[in-house]
Amino acid sequence: MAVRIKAILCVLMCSALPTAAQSILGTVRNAGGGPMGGVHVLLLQSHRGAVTGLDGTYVIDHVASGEHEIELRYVGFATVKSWVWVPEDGPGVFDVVMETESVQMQTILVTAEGHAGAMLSRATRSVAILGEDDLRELQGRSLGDLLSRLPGVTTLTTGPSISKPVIRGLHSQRILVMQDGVGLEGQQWGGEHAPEIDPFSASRIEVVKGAAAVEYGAGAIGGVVRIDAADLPENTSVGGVVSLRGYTGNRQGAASIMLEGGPRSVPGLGWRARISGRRAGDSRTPDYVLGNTGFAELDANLSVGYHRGRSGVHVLASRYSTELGLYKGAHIGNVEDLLRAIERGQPLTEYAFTWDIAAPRQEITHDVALVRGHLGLRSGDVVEGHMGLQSNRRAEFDAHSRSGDTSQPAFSLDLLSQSFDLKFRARPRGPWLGVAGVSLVNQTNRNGESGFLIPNYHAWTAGAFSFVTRVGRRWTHEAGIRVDLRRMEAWPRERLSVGPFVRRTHEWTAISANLGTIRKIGEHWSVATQASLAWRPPGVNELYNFGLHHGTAQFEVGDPDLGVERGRSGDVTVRHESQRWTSEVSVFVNHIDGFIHLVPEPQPRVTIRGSFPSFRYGHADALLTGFDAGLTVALGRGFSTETTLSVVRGTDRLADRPLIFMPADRARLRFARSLLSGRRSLEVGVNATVVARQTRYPEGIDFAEPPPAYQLVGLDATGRFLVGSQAVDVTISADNLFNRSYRDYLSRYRYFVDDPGRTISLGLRMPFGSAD
Amino acid sequence: MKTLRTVALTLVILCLPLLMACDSAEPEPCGACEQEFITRLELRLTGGGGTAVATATDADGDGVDLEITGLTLDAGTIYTGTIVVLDQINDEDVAAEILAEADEHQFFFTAGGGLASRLSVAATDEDVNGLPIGLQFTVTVIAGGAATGTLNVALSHFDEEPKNGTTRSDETDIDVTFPVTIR
Repeated sequence: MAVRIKAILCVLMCSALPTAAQSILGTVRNAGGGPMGGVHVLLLQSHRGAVTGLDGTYVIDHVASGEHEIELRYVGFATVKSWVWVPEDGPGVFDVVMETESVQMQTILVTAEGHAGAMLSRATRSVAILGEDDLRELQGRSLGDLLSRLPGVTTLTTGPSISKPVIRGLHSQRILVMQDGVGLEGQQWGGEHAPEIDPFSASRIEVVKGAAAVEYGAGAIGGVVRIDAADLPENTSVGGVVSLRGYTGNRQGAASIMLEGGPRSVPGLGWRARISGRRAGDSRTPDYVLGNTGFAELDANLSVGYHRGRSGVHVLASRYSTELGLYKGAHIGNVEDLLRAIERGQPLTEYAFTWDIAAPRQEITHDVALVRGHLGLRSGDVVEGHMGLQSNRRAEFDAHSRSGDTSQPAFSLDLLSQSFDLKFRARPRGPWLGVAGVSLVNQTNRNGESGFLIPNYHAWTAGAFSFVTRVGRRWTHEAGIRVDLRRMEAWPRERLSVGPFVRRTHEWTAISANLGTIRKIGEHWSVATQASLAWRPPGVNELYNFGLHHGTAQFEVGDPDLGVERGRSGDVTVRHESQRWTSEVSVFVNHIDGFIHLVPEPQPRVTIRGSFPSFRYGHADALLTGFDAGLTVALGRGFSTETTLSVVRGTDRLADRPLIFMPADRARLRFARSLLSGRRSLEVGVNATVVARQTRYPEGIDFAEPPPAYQLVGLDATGRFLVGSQAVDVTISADNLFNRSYRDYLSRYRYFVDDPGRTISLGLRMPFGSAD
Repeated sequence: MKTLRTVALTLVILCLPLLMACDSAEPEPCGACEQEFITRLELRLTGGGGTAVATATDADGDGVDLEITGLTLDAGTIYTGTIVVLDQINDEDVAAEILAEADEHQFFFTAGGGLASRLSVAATDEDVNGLPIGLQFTVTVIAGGAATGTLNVALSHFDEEPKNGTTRSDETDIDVTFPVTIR
């Protein structure tokens, strides 16, 4: 995990919290077991709190998931200070036995151990987190770049402008990306379609590794990436943050301005507005410029929340828009051209650096409107719901068009999605916690005037789920079940490429389930195990795709008769938390029956344009196994090390051969030293990424062998300085310091060109007003 | 609390029309029309008092029903030829477009299957830079016995790299191999 002890300890400084519907609750008793009323319970970061009732219970609502430092005070009793972990789907529970003041406790120790306890029992699954401190240091980097630091996560890139997360070997439609608690309904038809996220807006990124279908629905068969914004402020004056980052290499500039406030005249009201942009020109490898790899992105979002008592409402609107170029040298004709380009191994022409973005290119706009509310019932239970509307518009421009006018897209797709969900969160009854809910997604995809990649379709997905958790002192158990129904109407051509448009309907129903336990062993260790059943219906592209991929000169054909994928997975996660050492090691098995992938056809497709290797979507019996590990060790005197390891093995058991495009084994090491601490801080680090060659791949399918192993070295320095009374965070980093030429196996341009060379970046972050 | 419920209710009502907006419809029948297809390629040769025609037809442009007929040529004859390229889906003369962008295109002809020494093909037309195009060409069939082999016709599109008259590009728009019989 890319988090230091220091970072963990001050992760998630939540100010005030009208946005999240989680809560912290518990019962306070005296040593004799009697309930204690009138105890003051306070969250130290947000200065919000509650007083226990006569039965000793308390609830603090509107709390973000993550860690919170909590304090309990009562006259005559020793103050208790600790950390509470609030999971994503359920309240954080913190029961306390207060001792009279004569039994003194060392507060510092309690804090550290409370923190360890919270971290040890955070989830039955393996979870990797980038907290606020990590993100502050990394701000301005792309989402893919951020996620690739986490164990078990790699990225699939199509040049410098497109990267998408790969969790334990799975990506695209097998991964759910959630922003602000709602699934991102983007278009994931291919490896060159990236999630539409403004990474500046994230204050916390969490990757749930492995199937999480009960909570998140069909499709989350490989994992979930959760991106959450900080909670809205409350009762403060207007403040904000200006963030800037510049890069050598592609000469990228990124900037973000955020303003937020919570008028004192209206308690419970908070708002935040953000505008971010980035602009990059052509990237360069150590030896040459990659023509037409620039991009321009402009994002804005506004959120307003209000809460009173234990109920609240939150409205959010956001836009993400990007225009990005695709490397011109990857736009090739037929398979002969591809083989010639691979043989050459570098661009045919010498490109000069330019900021211009020419065809082939993509233009994507993603708009989100979201209303979320929660209502605290008299019984202590909470009802929450959301309504979301998302519009994703994608236009792709080919290098040539029939009319010679490349300002007309080769195809455009509009995807409109509505989502509704309703959840009932029961207050704890004894050690039991429960959540039940229903969700509904309604989706329409419409092609533009020009050609199409996938047919128009309309899909409904309805689901109902329930899960319960039993929290004990040593053991935590959870069990969940979900049923989903998906109905899709599509309008493909009768014979995929020819014939009239016809209406086809599909219907799928399946059950997902999950069982998990956490066993705490002593103060510093825990073992979490979980087993789950998940499924995924075939995507519309897998059913009806028909056509040519220009980048790889391969012909892809869908199969309208495909069935669903069913996953059975399990993992075991061992966690350790102590002041010296934090680690999470997880071993997993994911068996996906009916795994949908492209199967090579015996005959190439021969057209007047030439011949193309042909692939058809088909089922496989996939077995993914592996492990990932994150280890942070404090060495004393400010020195620390971080290590992450990711290993995946994928096998197609039906064909008895390795699965194609599985990430190669990799390790990342960082050695850092803190030189200053307090109001001013400085930390310098050196890091190395070591990636092995992928030796397990199916023979005779790919056009080129996997690229050789590579090692990259980087430097980074992060500091907080005071200019007058103004705090400024400065980050300087060098990636690929020695300007090494390399190609990653999961880079789609590896056939043609190297990955980018040395990049030095400088980031500045200036909080102002009350946001400091 | 009451205001909150009112706000929530109002939002629900405001969002209801969005449900209706999410209606679906069949695609425009002409959805795929913008795309460029090549559905027919012809080589029309005249020489020695006769004609020879080779065709490649592909009704959907995606190779589902590709049919190729070859050439039968007389030994010791010089033919003059032209190339016809059609997009019958959009009813367009692609050859005219190639001619209009002649400085970005070139046809390459390669005899194979044992005919390399018997067939020689040369473009007779030129673009604005004096480089060959290949929409017009001559085929020289060197005298000798009967033989069979192939003639490959490839159209290179020069977008990135400049056209130099001899090197093919990485962007091949047409690549068809016709059977050839010399009698």
